[in-house]
Amino acid sequence: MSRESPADQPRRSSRRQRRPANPFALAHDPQARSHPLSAGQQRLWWQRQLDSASDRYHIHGGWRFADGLDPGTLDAALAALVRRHEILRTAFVSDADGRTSQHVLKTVEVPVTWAGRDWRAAVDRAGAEPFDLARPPLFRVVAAEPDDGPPALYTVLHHIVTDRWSMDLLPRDLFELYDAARTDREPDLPALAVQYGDYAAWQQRALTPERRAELADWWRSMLSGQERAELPSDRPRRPAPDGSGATVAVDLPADVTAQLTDLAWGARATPFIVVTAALARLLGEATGQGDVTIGAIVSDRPHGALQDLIGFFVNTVPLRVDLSTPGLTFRQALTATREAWLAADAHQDAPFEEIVGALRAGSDPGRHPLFDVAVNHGGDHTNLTGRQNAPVWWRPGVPETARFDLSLTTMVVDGRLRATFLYRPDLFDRGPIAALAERYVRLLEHAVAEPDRPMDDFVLVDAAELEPRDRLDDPSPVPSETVVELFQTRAARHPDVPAVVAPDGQLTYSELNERANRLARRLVSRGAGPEQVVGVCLEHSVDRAVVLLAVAKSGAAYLPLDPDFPAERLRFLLTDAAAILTVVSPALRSALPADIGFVMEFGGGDPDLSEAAATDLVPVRARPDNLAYLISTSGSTGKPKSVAVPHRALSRLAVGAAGYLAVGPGDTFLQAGPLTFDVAVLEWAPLVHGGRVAIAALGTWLENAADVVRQHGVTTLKLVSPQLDLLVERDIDLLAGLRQLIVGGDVVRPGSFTQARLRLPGCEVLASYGPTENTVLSTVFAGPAPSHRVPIGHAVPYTSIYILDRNLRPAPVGMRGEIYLAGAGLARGYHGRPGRTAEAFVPDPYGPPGSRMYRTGDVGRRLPDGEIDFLGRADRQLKIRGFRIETGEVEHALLRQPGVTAVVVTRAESATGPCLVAYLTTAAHVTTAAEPAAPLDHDALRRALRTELPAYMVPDHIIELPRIPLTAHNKVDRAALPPISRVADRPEEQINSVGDYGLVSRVAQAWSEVSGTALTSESDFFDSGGHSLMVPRATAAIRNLLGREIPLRLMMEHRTPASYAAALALASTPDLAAATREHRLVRETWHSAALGGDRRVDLFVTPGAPDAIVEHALVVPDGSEFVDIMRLPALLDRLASEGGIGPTAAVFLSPADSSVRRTELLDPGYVDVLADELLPHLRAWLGTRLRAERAVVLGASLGAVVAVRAALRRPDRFAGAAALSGPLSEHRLGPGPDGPDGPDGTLQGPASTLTSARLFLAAGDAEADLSLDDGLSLLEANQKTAVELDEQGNTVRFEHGAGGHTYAAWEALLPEAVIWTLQEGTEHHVR
Amino acid sequence: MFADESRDFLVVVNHEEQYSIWPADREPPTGWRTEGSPGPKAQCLARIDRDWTDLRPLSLRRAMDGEPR
Repeated sequence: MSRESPADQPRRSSRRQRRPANPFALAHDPQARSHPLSAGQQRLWWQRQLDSASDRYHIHGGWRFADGLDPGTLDAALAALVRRHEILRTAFVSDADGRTSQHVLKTVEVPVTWAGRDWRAAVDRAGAEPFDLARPPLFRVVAAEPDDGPPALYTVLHHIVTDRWSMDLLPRDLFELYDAARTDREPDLPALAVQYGDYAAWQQRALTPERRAELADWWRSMLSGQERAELPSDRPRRPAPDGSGATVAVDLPADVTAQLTDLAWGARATPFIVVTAALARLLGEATGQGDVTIGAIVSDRPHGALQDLIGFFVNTVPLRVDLSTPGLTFRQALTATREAWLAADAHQDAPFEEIVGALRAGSDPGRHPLFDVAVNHGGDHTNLTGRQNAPVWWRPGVPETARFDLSLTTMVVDGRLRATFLYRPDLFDRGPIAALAERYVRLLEHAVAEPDRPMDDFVLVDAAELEPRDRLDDPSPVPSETVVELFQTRAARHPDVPAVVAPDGQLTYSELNERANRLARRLVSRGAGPEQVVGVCLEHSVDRAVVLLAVAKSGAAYLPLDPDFPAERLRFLLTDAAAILTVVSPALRSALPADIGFVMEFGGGDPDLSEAAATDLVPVRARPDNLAYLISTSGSTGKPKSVAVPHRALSRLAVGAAGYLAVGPGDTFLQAGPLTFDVAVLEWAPLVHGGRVAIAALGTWLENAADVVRQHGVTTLKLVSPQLDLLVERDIDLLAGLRQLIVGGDVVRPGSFTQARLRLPGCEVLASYGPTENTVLSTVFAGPAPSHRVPIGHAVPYTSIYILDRNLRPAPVGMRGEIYLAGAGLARGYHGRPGRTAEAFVPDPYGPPGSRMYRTGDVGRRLPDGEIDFLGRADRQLKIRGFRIETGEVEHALLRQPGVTAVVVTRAESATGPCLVAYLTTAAHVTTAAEPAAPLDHDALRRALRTELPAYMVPDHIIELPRIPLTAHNKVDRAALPPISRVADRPEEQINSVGDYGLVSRVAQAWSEVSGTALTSESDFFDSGGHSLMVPRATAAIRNLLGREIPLRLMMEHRTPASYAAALALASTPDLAAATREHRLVRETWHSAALGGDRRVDLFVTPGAPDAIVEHALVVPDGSEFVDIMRLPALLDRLASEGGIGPTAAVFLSPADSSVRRTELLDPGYVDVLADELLPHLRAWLGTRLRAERAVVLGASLGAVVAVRAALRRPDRFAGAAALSGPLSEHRLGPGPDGPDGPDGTLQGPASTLTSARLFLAAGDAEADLSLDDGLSLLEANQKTAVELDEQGNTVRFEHGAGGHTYAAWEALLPEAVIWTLQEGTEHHVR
Repeated sequence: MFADESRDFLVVVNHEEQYSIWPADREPPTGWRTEGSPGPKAQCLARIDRDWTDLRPLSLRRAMDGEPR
């Protein structure tokens, strides 16, 4: 292996870029009191906004004061420290537009808590209490008197003002200032030429828009297509991590540490590169992907003048390392990592959030946007406290906080490299992390010892890690008897013991044996024998057992057929298997096609076989390697294929079952699957152990499961997991008396599993797992379930199970790998499909020579106790927006919601890119009970999911189906799921969304301005050029519009304008549900004959008796805005209760679609719709209660034009109008032809003689800046129109006040507008 | 490993004349001999479809040919 070329003369020198120096001078500006935030501070400020309760960004330090602590001296020292470092007296302030800056205050007092000997509580409080970044000091001090030594000082700072380096500077400065104050001398500290604010301004100055764009481009191409290296977690990821951390530390031996350093310098790299390369390799092995992105946390003080400053000078640089080349050596990995680092370093000036934005990586508040794993090498900087007379650290043991899923910090301590893995205990158990840490040390040992050996050859799993597998697996050879011999032995030993019970009767062992012998002879006479296939299509009767046993005795293999299969499929199966004949129950004969060869009816005593001999066929015709049965499975593509299972594998199941199933004498076993499902094969187990098989018809028994169980004395019950879910939902207590319950066939729902364990005392509850290719069962788990998943357990007898990484090496304990199965249970293969067989059954490097193992395609991991945790199908892990999504986790979360009975989560392509779709069935569809369940509230479901799942795992679409389509083999038929486009017509969602777009479009507009990209109502802000640092400004715009506080994180949860507006509306109308129950606020879908299209109408009436008179009526166009945003119904309630208005009803009309809103409102017929359709609708709703002769119309903006028009043109129906911020002079208001208005914009046409309307006009002072087409400002237009309307004989009031064209301003005007317009009166008001 | 379509594979055969595939850049496990030259997976599987005409293990074939029951 050739040595690498030196770093300063790299092969790729032409491509290497160096980090450009900041072209500006770094200088102190004594005048400046306000500075921008540095890029790093922006990120921390943002994190703080998202997670206001978090102490994750608190930095701690503690030091001993050997000579005691004097309060006065300490205060003086702290004051001097704060004078010296401006950052310690800096406030982080955000203006109304969401822009943040840092202001240096003249002075800030640092409070000291003198906690004495009872310092614990004070220290804990200081560490945990959140800082308000706008209120310095972001610095707390506790003076303590620990029992174990001299007094100590404990400090907590927010990360935004400090970093690890600073926490060395801080004690240096503080101790010197303390000593100077104590001895009354000048402190001897290096002068500070600049302050942190100067640095921030200097940094931001160099980040010109061009430079930012250039950097963003580079990162976009560097990180495009990167996949998250995600470790399998022990618990589900919660939307908001609690920030707690825990550590595992491992030490590298001193000699290896020395070798490591040598290796680093020899490769022109640093120890940081070595530990990072090893981490990248480790992650690759643990996650199964070779190309990983790690966050490199580096100290970045890019100017000499910054060396003595306290402040936040840390950069987190995404480091993408691709080690996926097969056969890579560690030295090559080192080179790759070094190159990756040098390139990233050259571009580390890019503000982190802009990298995120450039990648459209989105932003999940609970999750780092680009990586989950970080590395931090602290071994290279000078430790200032290492000097003589240096302060002695005091570590009072404060809780760790974790900012990443996993971070590695390495440091050389006493010549040994210490690797500390900090992890989130809310995600991981200690065991898997400890295993990972151990593996990291072994990897480094191998790497430095043999840097030029392919890393794939390293043996990193130690014997201890394989111990659970070796202990739990059972590779012993299976007994060589077939089930025929085993059964016959039983029949001879206890002929009169019952063997099988079914609705049509019961057979003893000898009866079953004799009948089977007779039939077997008949079958043999028809050509049945070893390697021949006999089709069987049978009812649930004792005869079923007779037929299956007879086929086995004949030496042939049986192929079960479902009478419900389509004729085409039945024909194909029989032809494909070259079946020589088919045995069918008489009642099912008609279900089979006519042209399937020879068919023998058998059942109910026909045919009469009494002449055939009843003795056993000697010798037994089938050898252990002959086929026992075929089970057809649907291939993902094309034709079904049949798994061919030999007798040896069947014996392995039947004999081994005694190890975990109660199937012996006195036990009665029932399974609920059809014969075509391989679970039915388990019925052999009791027959070879002296137990009894109960056969019950599927479909009926779930209805009366308890009866069946009791009637047949079932002791051992096998269910597939959806059946258990259903039973738990109904009443699993009815199964009391059961001795054993085994559940499998699909992912077992933990809730159901636990419920079954709790509610069936004395019953052992097992979970099982097994593909057909390894004969029914491969693993069993006996509980209790340790996590949010039910493990699949450990191997059943005669079985080995491997969890292998992509190099076919055992995956580390706790880490993801593919599940492989080996042992006597392996099927021969796929009948007549050599290629498919060869692909699925591959050489087993861990078994006997020449043995095979089966690739399940399932992903799992081994838990520290050796049990296997099932993580899903390898091909069912989705990546959406860069996040790995295990659909099983989403399915589990949905299944935990009340009413949800079955779920399939999958990926679909929508217009805006890939999205997550959940198909589900609800109890309403499944139960046969007469009482239907309430319809599922999708919004409530999503809200509930958001409390359990990170935002990216909440399905974008939820689609209810009457049932989940299944394949013939009881697997979900994904191809049969309806596409999302076909099911877009979700009525309830339409009603919820119709009419909200007034706000939606204003949100879209505001967000578009901030992000610089035009957003539609369905555009994801973070996928459309937005990034988290834009959120404060985008939120500020909406806050100003609505005039109320909106949390920043709302944008993280609702990332499209439509969803955001819906959330705002929901927050505004918390009492809607209650009001609806009283039928005072009714939202309905309404069809206007004149306008066309379905639209939302809200009907409302203030409180009162059901027959109370209603005096006033309001008609409101743009209704959803008044209901959802300006909360008019609540206001009317308040005004009515305070006596400001009499009993009032209102009808709110929303446009059908935002695109037609303007045309519709300005349509000359619109006021007639209000008068002739809408108002009558309100009358119809209230009946005779409504006494108001005429109504008042209320509108804002264009709606105000409508309101005035209605009052002027339809005085027969409308008495007045409240018009807020209407562009009134732009439009014709009175009766007469509409269309382009005259140049003077005044009221045209003859005023109606009837006109004497009561008109409230209002505009905001800020609307003096809003100019209309006619040149007037909106304020002037209202003023002018008010005068004109007054002159025409109307009663007019004009108001203006603070505020602009915003919902907030209108909402403030509403009370007066409503009270005044509803008043009867004649007074003239024009101001 | 086996799902990696970009790799080359070997056709391998064991003592029971059962066929399978194995990554071409690795030594097959003990008990497996290679047959033919490495190639893309689809090509290997096509060869197996052609050559593996009887899925019965060799010992069973011999037993059944020798002493029919």
